[in-house]
Amino acid sequence: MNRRPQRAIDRGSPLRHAGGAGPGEERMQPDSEHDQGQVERFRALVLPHLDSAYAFARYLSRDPDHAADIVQDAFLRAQRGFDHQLVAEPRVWLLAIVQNCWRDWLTARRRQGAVATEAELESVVVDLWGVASVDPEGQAVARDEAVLLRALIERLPAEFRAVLVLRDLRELRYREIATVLEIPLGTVMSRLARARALLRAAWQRQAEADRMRS
Amino acid sequence: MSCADRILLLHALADGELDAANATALEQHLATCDACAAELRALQELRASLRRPELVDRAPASLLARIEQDLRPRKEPIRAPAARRSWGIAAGAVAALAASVVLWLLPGGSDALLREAVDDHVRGTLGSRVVDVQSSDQHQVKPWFIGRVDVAPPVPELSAAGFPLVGGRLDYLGRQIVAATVYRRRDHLLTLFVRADSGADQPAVVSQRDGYAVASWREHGLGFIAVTDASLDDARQFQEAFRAAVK
Repeated sequence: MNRRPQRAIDRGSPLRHAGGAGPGEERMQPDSEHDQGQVERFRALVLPHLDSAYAFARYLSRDPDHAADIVQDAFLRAQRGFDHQLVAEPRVWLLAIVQNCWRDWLTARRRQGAVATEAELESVVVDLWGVASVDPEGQAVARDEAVLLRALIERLPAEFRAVLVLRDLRELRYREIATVLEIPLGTVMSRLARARALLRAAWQRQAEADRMRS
Repeated sequence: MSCADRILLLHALADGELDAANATALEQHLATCDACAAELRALQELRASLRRPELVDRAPASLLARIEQDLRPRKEPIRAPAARRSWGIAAGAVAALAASVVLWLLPGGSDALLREAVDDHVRGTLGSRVVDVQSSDQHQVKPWFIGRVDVAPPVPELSAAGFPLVGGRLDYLGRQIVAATVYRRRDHLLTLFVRADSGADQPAVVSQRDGYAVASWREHGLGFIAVTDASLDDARQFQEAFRAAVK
């Protein structure tokens, strides 16, 4: 097994032509048959990964409407940067763009003061675990494991959440995760192990809290 | 190597990311180490519990629609490549070719789109759920579409013309979420698919396709395709009544 950190962006990487156009750029305007072919290729190669993109954005932003905005933005950027001959792995390429869009979205919101920092969120979460069920609406709902798991995943700090979602929910390979998140392979592995450990601990804590209440 | 150092390897093993040599070495260790074996089991349980479809979100239809809108060119949609076809045809052969010409130039759509519309119509009539909003009242059906499709369709009252309204549903046509309004003609159903279509207005063309009568036209930025197993004449009368009612 290769433990050397892997440069995420290299000559052959699917990110080489990631859409990184700035704001204010015109949307792609195909007006010839060649361009129409490009649109069709984009549709055939990239659009099938819409669900992956959305699921990823949903867990990153923790909100369905924000996720939709982020994904729409990602697709616009993807169209601008798309060249089918250079994008070897469309899904990985698209997810990397989604992650960039999410970061930009987060930065913009933080500047507006709209988003609590991770530290603030984590302290709130600890209180919740100690006191009530994860869902304030009703304990019966909290017993629905899927709902509980989703809530626990959403409470993981972003860097751990991202790796966990890509591996365990979207089943990307380690190497692909490294490319999407632009981190070394070793970092993927250590964050994944930590994410799973945090999730397990959170789940056990929740189970204990439920047991003590009943 | 201590067991603490092996943690990352255990994860890699569980994820199938370990090469054969390391995997074998680790498995040998697991045979003798209860702590690591327990750790691996707990890890596999966690991974199993995460393999639920409820945890994997699917993109909402509205998002797909927005992205499709972004994908389509702002200029007029690509028409059938008439310019490349040779028009030097002997007059006598024109009639024979009329049917195929009509197929390419069918307004707002290509051959493939009409075929898809017929499939959607048939599929809609097969199931128990022909419509999602069932009402003969246009004032109930039209508002139902608002927010569900980008362009709410006109839903005229046509029972006087022999086409009572059955209801409406969403459908998927030409990679778009479209409105489907369903009318009745005696004991036949007629589905009208309405989608945004920025091309020029085009008069109706009525044709036979796979045993179904299909009428298609484009007006005021909307593309219409009506499919029915009633007769060609019924399809023609429908589009005439429809266009008269929405003037």
